[in-house]
Order: sequence, then structure tokens, then C-alpha cells
Amino acid sequence: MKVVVGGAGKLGSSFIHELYHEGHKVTVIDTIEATLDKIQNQEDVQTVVGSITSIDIQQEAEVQNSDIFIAATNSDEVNVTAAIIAKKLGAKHTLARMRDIEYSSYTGFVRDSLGISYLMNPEYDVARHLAEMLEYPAVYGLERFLSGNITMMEGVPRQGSHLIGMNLRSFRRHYPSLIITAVDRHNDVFIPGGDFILQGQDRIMVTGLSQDLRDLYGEFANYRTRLEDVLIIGGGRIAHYLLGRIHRSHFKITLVERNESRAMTLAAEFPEVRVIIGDGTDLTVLDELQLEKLDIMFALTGMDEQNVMLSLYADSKGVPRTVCKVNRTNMLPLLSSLGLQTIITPHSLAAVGAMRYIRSRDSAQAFAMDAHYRLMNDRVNVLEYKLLKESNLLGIPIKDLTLHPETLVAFIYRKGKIIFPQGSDTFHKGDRIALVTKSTQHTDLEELIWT
Amino acid sequence: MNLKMIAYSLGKILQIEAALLAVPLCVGLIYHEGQTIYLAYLGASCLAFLIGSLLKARKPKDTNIYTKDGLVIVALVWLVYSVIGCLPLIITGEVPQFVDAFFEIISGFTTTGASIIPNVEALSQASLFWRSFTHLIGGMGVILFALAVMPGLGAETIHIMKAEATGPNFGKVSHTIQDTARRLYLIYLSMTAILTLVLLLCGMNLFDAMIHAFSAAGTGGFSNYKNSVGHFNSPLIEVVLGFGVLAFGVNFNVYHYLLLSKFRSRPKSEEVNWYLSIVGIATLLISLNILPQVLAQGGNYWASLRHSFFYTTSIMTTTGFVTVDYTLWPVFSRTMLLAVMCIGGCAGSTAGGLKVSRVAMMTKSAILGIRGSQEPRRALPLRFEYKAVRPEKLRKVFQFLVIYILFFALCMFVVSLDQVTFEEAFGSVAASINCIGPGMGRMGPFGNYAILTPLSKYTLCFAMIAGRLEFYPLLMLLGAPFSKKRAV
Repeated sequence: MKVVVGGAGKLGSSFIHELYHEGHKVTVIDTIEATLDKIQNQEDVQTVVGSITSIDIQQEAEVQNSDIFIAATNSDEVNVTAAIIAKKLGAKHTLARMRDIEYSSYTGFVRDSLGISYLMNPEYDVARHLAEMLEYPAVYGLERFLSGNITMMEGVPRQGSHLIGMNLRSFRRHYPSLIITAVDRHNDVFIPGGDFILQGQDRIMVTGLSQDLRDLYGEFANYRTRLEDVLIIGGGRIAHYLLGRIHRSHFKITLVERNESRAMTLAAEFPEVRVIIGDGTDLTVLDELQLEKLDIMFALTGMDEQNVMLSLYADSKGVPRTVCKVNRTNMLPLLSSLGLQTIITPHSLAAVGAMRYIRSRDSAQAFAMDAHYRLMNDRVNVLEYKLLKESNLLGIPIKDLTLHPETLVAFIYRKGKIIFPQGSDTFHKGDRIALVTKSTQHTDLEELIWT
Repeated sequence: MNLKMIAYSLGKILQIEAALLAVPLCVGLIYHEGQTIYLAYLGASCLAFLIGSLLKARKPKDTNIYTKDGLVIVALVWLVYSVIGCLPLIITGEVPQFVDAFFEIISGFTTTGASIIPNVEALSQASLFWRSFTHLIGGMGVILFALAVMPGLGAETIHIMKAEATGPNFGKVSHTIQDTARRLYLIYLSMTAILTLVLLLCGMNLFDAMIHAFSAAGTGGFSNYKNSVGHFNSPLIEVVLGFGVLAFGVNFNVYHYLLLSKFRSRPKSEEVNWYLSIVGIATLLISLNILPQVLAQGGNYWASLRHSFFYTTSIMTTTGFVTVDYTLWPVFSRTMLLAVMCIGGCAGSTAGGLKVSRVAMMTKSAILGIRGSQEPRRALPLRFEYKAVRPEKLRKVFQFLVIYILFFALCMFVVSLDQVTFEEAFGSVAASINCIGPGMGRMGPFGNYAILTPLSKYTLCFAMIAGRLEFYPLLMLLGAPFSKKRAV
């Protein structure tokens, strides 16, 4: 497909990277030439220097012939204007980043009346993710498929759980409707086979029907904990959206914000929340908050370094759960080796959502990929396909097919029923299937499975 | 200051008083009350018209009015209205002394309801009507009335309207000032008409019903009987008037929103919640406190509740209708009444006092202060009416309190030169500055202010106008001659 990306900031770059590696023709527009040069050094894309709200520049980038236009600058107004222009010029689909709180309640209106196909709000996505995390405290990561019917959740088996020492074959006998799709052991990710034996510190990713997963929930560490004392450091947009979702529930929430007027605004909007004016990185402020009594801490300041340090400090003080927001994705491999529990990157979350949308519009591939998820700090890909065409893959038992190394068929969704496939199961035309793979290069079904 | 424009505006508004004075004249004619009455009201009316015409004879070129001009106009209008309004009482000889007549009519316009007339039943019907009519006009504001009926007032009049409105907020409910004034007056007059009807149904005659409805509407408190509402000795009338004044003590914007939503949604108003809670708690506490006394007189708890409810609403809304003699109640109940006197009704209502919203904001702010001292780093913004209050606004509320206390103290010093007890001095100043009417001791429900010296009477007149206009307009007027001319 032909894609035009307006704005090559953090969000824009993550799009460019993804799109290029999936084989799309990408044109990038940005006002800063140096940024474009940097991108051209890494990716083979076309670039145009200029403002994305300029009709001339858009025409130069051939927006009129493009399939997808993505407006990902820092300014909501610029993005919306550019997306409207692009739509009028003839772009088939338009995506715009829109993150202002004022607009966020009217996304439906903006989408329908302005003709923007998809709105991206990274901060809002993060907040929703964090709120889910508070709801399922024993779970490190959670992703829902097929409108919430199927869930993938990450957790660590509790001490003394019968899961420890169990191999996956007997796991399958115990939990016929669940499948372990990935295991993170000492920062190495495995896509486990039947002989794989679970160990104490393993972080396991389990896939299954949402109601069946509840049976396993009791085997996770901290499953009994009801999170109560929540500390949020940094009162930015994410914190604002998050408070909007959780401030009326049972949580005792404390928020630390450095800027006094921002703190006052938040305190006025959410009177149930204890808002402290102070620098979250000042240890005296943190110690006054009695970290040892906390159940969970969210480090959401605007600085990656501060968030990392805060999470490490909280960890050393024995805070059971810490969540760290990091904007720069290139730091991720380093961070997971530091032992940080949960890392959130707003841009990749938003890009994942938007890419899911883009891929579903892409009919050029032999097998339409419906969705693409990333789990375990982006080290595992979950790919969902719809098997619409005839193919030599159909009708052959899975055990006779060749799968890419470290790839697994997680489930088959056929006529409203979910099948967790055994070796003898086959693919049918019309199935939706999900693959779990460690490979980040391959997204085409036929590159992952062949006869 | 734009003196020419001040005079011009004053003239226009005075002509309206000429029309207002024609109403009691008609009442006099209906009751065939004789030449003196006709002459008195006709004369005052003509005088108002004449002075008004002279003042507005030449329209100034510069028609700009600024905040300060607005404040001065309001203070002047209220003073001049009272001076002209008291003339009929002097001419008819019903109240021969100027100071007494002035006091009576100021008390009327400011909806205080304090009287220096020992026997009101001896007054002519026209004068009785005029007294209560001043309540009706003064309740919503004489200027607001002028704005509602007078054509061709520009946007600059917003300063005048703001200066007269009560409370810390100024709610413009419509696009134009005139439309706002008309809507508010329409609601106000409709409510008054409904109350008149209900009182008629309760067995009052038309004249009594109008007098009491007007007094209740303006939260004034003048009655045409010496025993006020107690004259009727009817629990039904007391309950109706109790709820009546309670309704007029609510911010009129609340009614406006009710009307706009066609009564479908209940407007959320924190101030009204505070207001009703204070009335409820005070009623309950007073009823328990006076219970032994009521029982000793052969009453039951319902009688005690009846008196307690009637007085709490009557005093809290700064009306000042009376039934039984509360000066005989225990000290706790009297203190309670003094407390609700100072709190007063809601902002934007016809009631006086500090206003519930100010009291609520200050109370909440004080509580936040205590919480803040436990957690010095905590962000504790003041929330009122479900949103944050800007610090500047809170500061103004506290400044208002300081001015209120200083005025109070000043008036008390002057009144205490008189032959009065401390409770009488405090009660009479509180009753005047908060526009209630009956004070304590000899100025209580069955006493009157006639015993005071002219100095005290003038002081209380001053207190009434200052309290009704919330101090700033009168301060501006008094300060105007001394203010240095700036080269602007």
C-alpha cells in the first residue's frame, strides 16, 4: 500500500519503521530536514520537507493517490486539519493523533463528521491499559482478542503452585481449554513445546477463553491481593485519563505532581484523590509517602530516566508492583535487563492499535492479517489471520506442517467456536487463526507456516 | 467619574419611582382615604418626576459608565429613592419626623422590615401598601426593576447591575442585561403572585395577602398588623409563609435553570444544599431548646417545631415576620437566631446577610486549612458548586468578611452610645446590616426602633443600605468627594 506519514516524531517514526518493514511504500513529511535525513539513513522511504497542512506539500507527497494518510505531529489541530485535507485530496483512509483531553470525549463526533477514519490517542490507550492492570493485579499483561472472548494474560505462578515442575503436556490435561503460548525465563522468551517444564520464576503467557482463565488465576502469585494503595507520580495526560477511569472505585490514590497549578487542577477535578505537590524524584517526598505501604506505583513523569529510577527505587523499598512509562523504544532491551516489572511505551501501544487498523485495510496480502499484538515487552508477536482464500495449508494436520522456529498456533476460531489446536487439527477456509511467534521480521502467514 | 452620566441615569431611574408612587395613590383612592393621602402620594410622585426630568434633561455626549460610576449610581439611587419615598409619610403626618420616615422607608427598600412606628394598624391603607410595596421593589433591586422596564440602556449598565446584585457571583442568565432583568423579574413576580393566591386560599383577605406576599417576596417583613403574622394565629399561614420566604431565599438563577429545563432536571446547587441544611439543623436545635418552655405553656412538640421553623426561616431569609416573642426564648435559641441572621440567604436571592455561598466557601476553606496543616505538601484546592474556586475569588470573599466585621463594629460603637444593653446593640446592628428587622431586647419582635436617638437611627439606616448593597457602593459614594482627580 501507499502510505504517507506526516510528522516524524516518536509516534511517526514507529509507524515508519513498522510500515517499511511490512513492505509498504512510505512517504514521510516533516518540517525538519535533519529528521528526514536521519530516517532516510535507516529506512528506504521517500521524504518531503514541509508542513503537512499545506496542500502543495500534500500533493507533492502524492497524498491524492495514497491508501493511507497518517497525521502524527505533536499538535492535535494540525493533525486534524491535515487529515481533513488529505481526505478531500483523495486519501482512502486517514489516521490522526488526537490526544487533547478537551477533544477526547468527542472522538465519535470527530471521526464521523470530519471523516477521519482512526484517531490515535497514545495516552488514552496507556490509561486504559493501566486501569485493566489495576483490575487484574496478579497479571502482568493482558490482551483481548475477538471482541474480548479470548484473553492472553501474563503472570508468575505463585509459590507452591502445582504449575511449577509441570510439563506442558500435563498442563494441557489439567486445563484442556487453556494454552501456554510463551514463557519468559530470566529475560529469555520461549515459545514452549510439549516437553517444556515450568519453573518457579517463569512469567507465563496463557491464552484461553476469558471465563476459563479465571480457574488459573488462583495459581498466580499475588492473586489474592486486592490493590488498594495506588501511587501515581506525574500528573500528565496519562494520569488524567487514568484518574478519570479509577477515581470512583475503591482505590486509595495518591498522585505526586511537581507543577502546582497542574496539581491544583487535578485535585479540583478529582477530589477523592490525594494530590501532593512535590518532585516525585525527591526522595524526601517519596519517603514521606510511606512507600512500604503501597500496593502499586505508576511512574508516569515526562522523563524516561526519572521513571526508570523511580521504579528501581520503589522496587528496592519493597513496593509489590511498579509500572514504568518509557517513551524511547530503543531503551527497551536495556530496561528489561534491569529487572523492571512492567514497562509501558505509549507510542508503541498507539502504533500497535493503529497498525492493527492499517493491516486490516490491506487486502494485497494473500491472507488478510486482522490484528497484530505485541506482548512481553514487545518480544512476542501475536498475529491474527483470516483464511479467506484457497491455499495448500488448508486441510493438512498441523503436525505435518512446518512452522517457523519458535512459532505456535494459539487458537483457531471457527463458526463461533474456539479450538485450541492439537497436532491432528487442520485449517479450514474461513477460519480465523492466531499465531504466536518470536520472529519480528515475518508477518506474512506463508513465511511462518509452510508445507 | 462621568458625573453627567451619573446624573442622567439617576434622573431616568427617578422617573420610575414617580410611577411606583402612583400605585399607593390608587390604593388610597380605592379605600377613599381622603385628600391628605392623595396629595401626599401625588406630590411625591410629581416631585420625583420633576427632579428626574431635570436631571435627564440633557443627554451627555459621553455615555460611558465604568465600575466606579456604577457603584456610585446605585448608592445614590437607593438614597434618593428613600428620601423621596419617605415624603408621603411625613406629609400625611403619620410619621412626622424625617429621621423616622427615612428609617421606615429605607427599611422598606432594603427589605429589612425594621419599624419605628409604634402602632402600624393606625396607618392608612395607602401607606401600609407603600411600605410593603417598597419591599417588593427593593427585594429584587430597584435598579434591576429600572433595567427591566426602561428601554434603551446600553451594555455599560452591566456595572450598575453588578453593583446591586448580591453575593460573590454575578449570574447573567441571558444574552442582554435587559432580558436578564426581565426574566428575573418575571420569575420573581410570578412567585409573588402564586404566594398571594395561596395566602388568599388560606383565608386572608386580598389586601392582607398582598401585603404579606410582598413582604415575603422581598424577604422584608413589614406587616399591616401590630402582631405581624401572629395576628392570624394560624399554623397554616405560618407554614405557608415559612416555605414562601424559604423559596425567596434561594438564588433566582436556580429557578431560571429550572424554567429553562422545563422542570425536567433538578439543578445541582451546592449553595442550596447548604442553605436547606442550615435551616434544617437550626430548626431542629431550636425546637428542642424551646420545647420545655412550650410544654410549660401547654403546647406540644409540634407547637415548638412550628415556632422554631417559622422563626428560623423568617430570620435566616432575613425577612423578620414575627409570631411569638422570641426574646423570651432561652439564650441558646437567641444565639442561634443571631447566627442565622448573619448567614442570611443564598446569593442572588432577595435575602440579605453574608450569604450562604460565602459562609460555605469560608467554612470549606477553613477545613482545608486544617487538613493542609497535617499534610503541607498536599494540593487542596477549594471546590464549590462542583468546581474549583479561583484564589482571587476566595480572597474577595474573605475581604468581604473583613469589611462586614469592620462595618458591624463601627455601627455597634455608635449604637452603644445609646441607652441600650449589649444584646440590644448587637441585635439591632445585626438586624439592620443583614436586613432582617426585629432585633433583640426592646427592639425585638414586639418592640420597635422608636426608642433610639436620631444618631442611632441614622447609623442603622446607613447599616441597612450598606448591608443591602454589600458595602462597596456606599463606600464608593462616601469616598467619591475625597478621591483625587486623576488625569485620565
